[in-house]
Amino acid sequence: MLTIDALKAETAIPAIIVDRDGTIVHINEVFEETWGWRKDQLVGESLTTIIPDNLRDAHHMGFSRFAVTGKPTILNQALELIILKADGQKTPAEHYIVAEEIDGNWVFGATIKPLDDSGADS
Amino acid sequence: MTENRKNKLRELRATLGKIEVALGTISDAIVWTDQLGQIQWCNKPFDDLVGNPHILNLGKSLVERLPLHEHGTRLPDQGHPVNLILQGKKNIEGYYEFVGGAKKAYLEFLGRYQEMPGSGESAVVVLRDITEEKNLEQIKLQSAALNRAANAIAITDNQGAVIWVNQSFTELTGYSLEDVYSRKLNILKSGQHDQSFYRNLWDTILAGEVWEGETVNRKKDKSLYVEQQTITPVMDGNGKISHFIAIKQDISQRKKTEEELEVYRTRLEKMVAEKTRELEAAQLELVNRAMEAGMSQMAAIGLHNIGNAITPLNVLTDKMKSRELETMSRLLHKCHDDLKGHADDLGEYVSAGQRGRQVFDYMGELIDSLRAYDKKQFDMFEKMETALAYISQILTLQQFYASGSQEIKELVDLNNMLEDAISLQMGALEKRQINIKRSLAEPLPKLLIDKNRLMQVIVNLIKNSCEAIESHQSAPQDKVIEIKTFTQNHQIGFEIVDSGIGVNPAEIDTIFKLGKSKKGSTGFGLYYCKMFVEKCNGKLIFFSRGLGKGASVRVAFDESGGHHE
Repeated sequence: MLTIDALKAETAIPAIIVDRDGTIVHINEVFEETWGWRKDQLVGESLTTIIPDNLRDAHHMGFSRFAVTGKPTILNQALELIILKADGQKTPAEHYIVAEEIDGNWVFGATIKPLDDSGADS
Repeated sequence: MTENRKNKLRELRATLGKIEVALGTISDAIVWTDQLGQIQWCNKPFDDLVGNPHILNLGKSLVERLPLHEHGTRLPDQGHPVNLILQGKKNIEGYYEFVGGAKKAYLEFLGRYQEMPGSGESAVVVLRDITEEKNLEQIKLQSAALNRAANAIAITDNQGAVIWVNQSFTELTGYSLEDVYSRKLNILKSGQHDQSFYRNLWDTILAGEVWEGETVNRKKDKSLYVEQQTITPVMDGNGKISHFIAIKQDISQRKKTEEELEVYRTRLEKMVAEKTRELEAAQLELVNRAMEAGMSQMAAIGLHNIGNAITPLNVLTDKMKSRELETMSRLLHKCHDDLKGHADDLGEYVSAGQRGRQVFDYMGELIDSLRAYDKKQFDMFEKMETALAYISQILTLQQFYASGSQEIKELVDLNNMLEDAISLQMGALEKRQINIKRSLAEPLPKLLIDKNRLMQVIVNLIKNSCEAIESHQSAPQDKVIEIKTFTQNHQIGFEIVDSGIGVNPAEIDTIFKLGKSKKGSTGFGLYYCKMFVEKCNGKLIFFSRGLGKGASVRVAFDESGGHHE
């Protein structure tokens, strides 16, 4: 089971951690290398920064529902979703999203791996 | 982000979360797209409708995810209401059939065009699945149609017990639904059909097949009627018979009309048969008259020929009555008296006197006259014999071809018949100085035919040729009738070619019309010749190159049409 701590320690796979408000709190170096974003561009910003426009509604609705119900629909499974790269390109990537309640607050984390033929920078 | 702003954001998220939950619990499907028609969000009923996990619908084309049909035909992409909304920037409401994979649904479609500051253009669509309502509506409609149908309809369970009848059933039979509910339809039995009739009916429908037939049934008021009935078994999901539907139509009136029509038809047929008989009788009468005309013509020809033969006989008789012998006798007597008066001086009288010498000369002349007379008498007797033989021959032929009204077929030799016909017409031919040329095929197979009728035809045709030659002024050597017989291409026949006046080709058809006999003929014209030939399975073809160019008549009998040896 993938944990937030494990994600924090992850160095081989691009990893990202978001707080209960949807604000990015951590990305690892592989993430920076893979998707072109720098830490100072993402940390403290809304997760929607790396979500393409046409999926932001779905993100807001789903994120909000989880906040209200605590019932996940997309967690703990590999999903192919589009990621917005720093250069503005949209590319599909394998997302594996987890959620963990830490000190009474939900914390969300994900590994976002390029697909074999995706246009990742590395 | 300040704590205050974070709290505001959390409030908004809580609201959004509740909306998401609320929209997920209603039965209507809700979906909205970006300006390209790609799904930005949809609720759970939409996911259920299109049959995809939520995550796989997001970002995908709504037109692709929601294929719609109208009147059974799939809408093209450019006609899809979502595209119409986005392209026309308008709202659309309508009803469509959704056909996606295994699922089918009838949808009420409510689409709104939205333009929000910051989020761009969007199509927001609410879909209501009204399949059940539609089915119910359909059922209501069908039920109303069944109830108002002109045909009587009864629905029974698989045991034949009535569960529903329509208004027309009540009108037809007099039984209401209350009267017949849970009862079997054998209350309509009239007793007009035997057990095997009903056994066949039940065997058919229990085998799952449709039974169709006419039944005489009895109404509630005990009166009888005839119905055309179709009984259809209805199967349940397991293929077992669950119900029977009987559709009945009162055909009593139709039967009555059919019977009336049958009566009319029979009457008409009878009338037609009567008229046909009358026509046949008239035709027979015509034929008989023609035959009589033919017979009288034959008889007339015979009498004419006999007359021709008798004329020289009369002349001969007159000649024989001449006083020639008496004159000779008187002269001989005078010689005798002279000689007797000079009995005493007979020597001197015959040697010295001039008158005496003349007596011997007279006697010598008388002897010569007697010899000549004898020869003349002999010649006259010979001529009389010839004429009598001719009369006898004609009478024999007349007798041979004496026709009765009965058609009697026998095997005949066409060559012989033509010779007989020429003999019968010899008087007329000789009188007109017509030469007969013969070109007879030998051997000629015999024909099985009514010889009397055929002779009438041949005699008539030769007579026509004689008359045609008479009408055409020509030198004696040009007056020719050529008689040919032939057998070729499975046909046997004869041809009579004359050098007569001929016929204008444009008028050839008219000479075959009834009553078109030539002036002076006996009425037994070409029409009857043709009719007789055709009655004998033959063909008669008349041909002429034109006026003054002669004519020919060719008569041929098909081998297969008649018998021949």
